[in-house]
Amino acid sequence: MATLSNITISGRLKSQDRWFIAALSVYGCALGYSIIMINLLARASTLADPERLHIPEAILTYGAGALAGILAAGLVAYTVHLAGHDWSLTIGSWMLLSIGFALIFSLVTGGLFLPISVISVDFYQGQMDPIELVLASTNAVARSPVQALIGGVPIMFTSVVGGLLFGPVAWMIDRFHYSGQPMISRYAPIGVATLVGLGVLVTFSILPTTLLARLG
Amino acid sequence: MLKNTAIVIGIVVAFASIFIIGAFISVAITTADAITSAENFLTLINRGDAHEAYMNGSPDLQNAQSENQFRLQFTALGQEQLKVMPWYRQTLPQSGITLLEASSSDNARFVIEAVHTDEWRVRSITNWTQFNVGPGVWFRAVPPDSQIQDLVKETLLEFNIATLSNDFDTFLKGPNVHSSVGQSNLSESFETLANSGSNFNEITNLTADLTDDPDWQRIRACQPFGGCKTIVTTSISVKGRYNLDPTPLTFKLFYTYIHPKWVLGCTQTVRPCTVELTPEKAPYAN
Repeated sequence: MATLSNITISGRLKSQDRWFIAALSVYGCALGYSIIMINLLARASTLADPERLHIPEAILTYGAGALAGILAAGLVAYTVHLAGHDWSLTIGSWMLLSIGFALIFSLVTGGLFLPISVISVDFYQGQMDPIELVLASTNAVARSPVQALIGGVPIMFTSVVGGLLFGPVAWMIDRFHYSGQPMISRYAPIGVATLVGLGVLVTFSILPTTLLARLG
Repeated sequence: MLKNTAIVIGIVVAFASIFIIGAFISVAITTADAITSAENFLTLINRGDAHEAYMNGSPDLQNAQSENQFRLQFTALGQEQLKVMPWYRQTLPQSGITLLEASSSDNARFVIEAVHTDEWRVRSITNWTQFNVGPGVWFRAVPPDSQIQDLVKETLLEFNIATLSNDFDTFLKGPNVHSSVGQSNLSESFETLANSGSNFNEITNLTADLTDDPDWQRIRACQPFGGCKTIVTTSISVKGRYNLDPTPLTFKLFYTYIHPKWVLGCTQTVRPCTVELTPEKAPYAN
């Protein structure tokens, strides 16, 4: 059981805990990529038949969601362990934490990662020179607190839907993490996160765009 | 916790640095040859060797524009010396095409399009706002007097035909007019010309006295409190006079640039209409 001393002294993570954070970040990466893809499809559907972006624009744009997913999921996992506990949380707790994931994800993506990705796409497409890239990126970072609300709100609904997929898988990973078997405890979380994450990516990459657009 | 925070911040800073440095390096590497080619091209132009520059241009440029047209564009630009901006002000190539930024001595901006075939060659040079008009050198600068004379003659002769045949629709839909107004807006004012008594055919043998109008001072215009700027304009108004018999004719015509040429502008949004012809002592001004 966690004690006050072990909370204050540590903040130091055990090796397994790092694997757990890494596992949840991997899953957050896949989920974030998918959330942004769905969100942009939903926004595009108001104008025309939505289409997925093609590589490399897809990597740069949906990649913003992937990075934000890593950050949001990693932060949730880190916070859970910072609070210090030696048992797995209930699924109800993880569903509550998934709201935190959705909130952090949408604010960070809308505030920083998506603006930076738009700038990156512009640079890649020859619309900007490197100096303009630096200036625009700096501007995006400076504006991120305000932009978090402006850009984050349109992503929030999709993030909450994504959160519904985050909670149960995070709970499952957490259960493996607290398995009595050291090997399972260490490697199963990252394995499960990778497999489920790939499953999420593949599923959302082949489902019809019109269907996905309704989720956003 | 402090250590973990430092690690996270370190990773973020490292990624940001790689991102920025990568951007600079990628532009430096991918644009180097195109910049060299464009600089060689401009060196030839700046020392007056237009023929050599034309021959060094891409085949697309040579197919789209004759050498004479090529020369005329640089003549219209006057004495401006163009130079390619440094590599860090350039953008990434797209599918074998690089759009390079160039500037004149008074900081007007131009776009040089270089294409990669066997080597990088210049395909187009345009002013900043019309970089997508295709191969060739197109500055949209005010043309030389001789071209304006030809433009005015052409307009008035076509206009005369329209007046005599009372067919303004054909005139308005012709290739030398950019029109968004209908016949009804024009015919009333144009009909007066048929009664002016002037012999329009004489225009072919006359040279108009073009007024020294600030609208079409050459390529440079100096602001009262600013520097001098290169004029790359979308419209010019031409005033002048023909000594026709029996009634001399003054005119004011408004031209707009529709790539690749100047045409009579007839748009209600810009100004009501474009042709003002005034037989002297009997004004029929529109």
